[in-house]
Amino acid sequence: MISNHNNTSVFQKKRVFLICLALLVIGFGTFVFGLMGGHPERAWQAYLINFLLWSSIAQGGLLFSVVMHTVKARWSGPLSNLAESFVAFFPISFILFLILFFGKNHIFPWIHQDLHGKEIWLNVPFLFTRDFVGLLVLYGLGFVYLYHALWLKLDRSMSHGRIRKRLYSGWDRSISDAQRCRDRMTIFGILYILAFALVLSLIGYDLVMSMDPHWYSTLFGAYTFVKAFYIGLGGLIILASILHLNPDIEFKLKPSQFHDVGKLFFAFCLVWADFFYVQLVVIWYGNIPEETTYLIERTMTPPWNSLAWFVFIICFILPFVILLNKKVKTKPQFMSILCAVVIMGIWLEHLLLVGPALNHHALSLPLGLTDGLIFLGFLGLISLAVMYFLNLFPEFLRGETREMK
Amino acid sequence: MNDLTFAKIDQTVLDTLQPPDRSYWVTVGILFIGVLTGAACWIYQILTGIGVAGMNNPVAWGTYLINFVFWVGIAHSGTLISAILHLLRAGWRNPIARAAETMTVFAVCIAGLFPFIHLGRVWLVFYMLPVPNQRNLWQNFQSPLMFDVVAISTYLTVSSLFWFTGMLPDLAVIRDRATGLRKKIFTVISLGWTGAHEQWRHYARGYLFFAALATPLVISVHSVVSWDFALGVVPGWHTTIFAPYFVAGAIHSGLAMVLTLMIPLRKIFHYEKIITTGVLENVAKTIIFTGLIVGFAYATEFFMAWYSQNPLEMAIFKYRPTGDYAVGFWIMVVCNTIIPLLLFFKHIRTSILWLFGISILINIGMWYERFVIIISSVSRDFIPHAWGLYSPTIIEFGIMLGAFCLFFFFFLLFVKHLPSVSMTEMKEILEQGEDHVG
Repeated sequence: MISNHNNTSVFQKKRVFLICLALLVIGFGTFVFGLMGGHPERAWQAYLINFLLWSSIAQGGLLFSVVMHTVKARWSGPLSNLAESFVAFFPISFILFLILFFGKNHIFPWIHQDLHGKEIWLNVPFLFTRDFVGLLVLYGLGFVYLYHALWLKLDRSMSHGRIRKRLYSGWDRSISDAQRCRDRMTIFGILYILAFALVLSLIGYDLVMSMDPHWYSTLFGAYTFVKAFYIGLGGLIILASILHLNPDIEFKLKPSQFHDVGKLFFAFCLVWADFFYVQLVVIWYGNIPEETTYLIERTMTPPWNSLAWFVFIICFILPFVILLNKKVKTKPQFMSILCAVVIMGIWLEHLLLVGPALNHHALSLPLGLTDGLIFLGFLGLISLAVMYFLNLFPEFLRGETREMK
Repeated sequence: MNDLTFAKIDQTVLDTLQPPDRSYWVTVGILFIGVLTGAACWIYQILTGIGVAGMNNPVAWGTYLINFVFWVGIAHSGTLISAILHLLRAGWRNPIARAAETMTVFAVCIAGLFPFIHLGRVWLVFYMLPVPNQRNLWQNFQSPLMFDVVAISTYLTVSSLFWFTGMLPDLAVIRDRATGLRKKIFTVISLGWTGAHEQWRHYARGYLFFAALATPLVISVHSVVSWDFALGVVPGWHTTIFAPYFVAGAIHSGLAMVLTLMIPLRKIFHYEKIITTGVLENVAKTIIFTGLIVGFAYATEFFMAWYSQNPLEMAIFKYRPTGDYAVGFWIMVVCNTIIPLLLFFKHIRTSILWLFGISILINIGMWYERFVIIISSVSRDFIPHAWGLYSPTIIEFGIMLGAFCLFFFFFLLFVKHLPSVSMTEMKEILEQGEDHVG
């Protein structure tokens, strides 16, 4: 198996690495250029949206593995492995969050507003402290879960590299047998699920909902984490498809596995749409001005109304109609395109949520080339992180790992 | 599970259909007296007027609506078990799917009774139906109460058909071994099932389609029920989280009811090898999950009331844990969110006694949840001048007793006359292993 190592990690091919690096540099350059230019708020808006989007994909991606482990699923082994590779983006996401602090004046419109008693919750030091702690806990639990998952999956005869050596010596001290390891994975997995719900709700309230500080919706937190799982599954399907379609890589999935993960994606497409609709209908029917202004601005007023329809079509109607078909779900080429469309739809959905608050009286959608380039930069960043992880642990690219045998 | 065979499964299930002994009929009789008590109370209410119940201004919705929501909730876990877990290929649900689905059908029937009971002039109920008429009346389709009529009747239809379809092969098994009148009856209701390959193919496809259609249906039904409240503008009712929170709460209560029914059932009918402790343990684990969702929803409502700094919202969420109905509120919190956490401990969720006790407490807690939501919000409406308290009268308690008795009465009749465990699905597990079903 070890001899396969060099063959399996085609990511070592410089070309892919260089492309991702180039994307990262372009995105970073555009962001810096945007900050220097006349509209730093636009650069920060794109930064915030991308931070939320890509962090959600990583957090939701790991959630797949955690949920599969917790419910003792037996079909998802290789997919769970891939899902764990998204953990590599956690530290980056954490740093990206810290950088957000420098843009606080551009992304928190409430900073200079009279909040009528809400200052206790909505103030910059408290907001950053609680979100800092929240993300630290969430990512910490993710890493502890991964630490145990690796014990079950790594081939210990491969001993090169500092990180692997550290892991081995850590395991010698802390983990005795497979059953105990699995039990701990269950415990930390459940804690991760709890943290996922709570921390993503918090992030949703603090970084998205509070843009309109006087508007609130109790479902917003749950909506945020359901959305994260939805696009996390999308990201996972894309990654699995790319690896599956690459003839040089040993990683292969059965059509039934693509079908199953496709069904899960379909299910969460429905849940996302349900949560979207459930908020909408309650506010629409109640017709209280404090609540409806938010909806009217986003769904009835140009330029946002057309964006709202576009988002709903490409994140729900399109995938719903397409995924009713069974065969489509087993086609990795097609599924990866569909998932990419949905992820871009959710990017636009973030714009729909935060855009009106940051761009008052906008006549046209605040969307341009810079947004696209910053998006690509983040894409490069998460790709590099995942590639680094899969290079470090090439066992994850095998069809089966030790645990499944 | 290992020493089960096809013949043993058939035998165990068919044994439950042997003529019952006297204690069974005594229990059925006692329950029937309970049902009569409820019916008598209702007749008294019809003859005297709705004023015999405790409803007043401002609390116009009392235990009748609480029981309505409670029973719709109970119904939900049946569909979760029979449809959603079928789609997820969770084979452990097979031994309890039939009983849970039956529970759904009966619970929806009971739930459907309460709006009738709540009507002062029940004979005018046909006003709810969109029939052409000379009175120039037309239903207000914008009213959530009309949504309810549509949702509940659709749910009853689909879950009954799903239940009956699933039972067809088992009915044929009984038909083949029965004699006399029984054989005639089962010949008719098994619809000519022969077990031909073509029939099995249609059966499997049909079952799958039912499961796929019942899943969004069950979510929509309790969402609609939640909108009876959430679409109004009353503080404590008008909140966007209500639909998913009600769905999760419904499944929470329903799973508890599944345990309450299954534990005695497996004891009395010697189902221990079929409904194993492992199955009950998995139900318990699912209860932890739904309990956490419900707890998350409670906490979110309080947080959001505070975050909004809206005085009306803050007032109602201060009133609930400290006001006139504080006892109900704390019963709800403790029974629904704290006690289910005990199931995290393996020795508790594998102990039949603990499971039974916890399941009953959750049932009580979920009843109180509806009490707290429905009563507290309207009793402290916007204008202090119009505040008022509510307490149920003896007539309402009588009707509630009747409803519970009717439910268990139906269930007892069911377990002795129809197969309470699906022989077909048990054989599927035996044939393919738990993780390959579906």
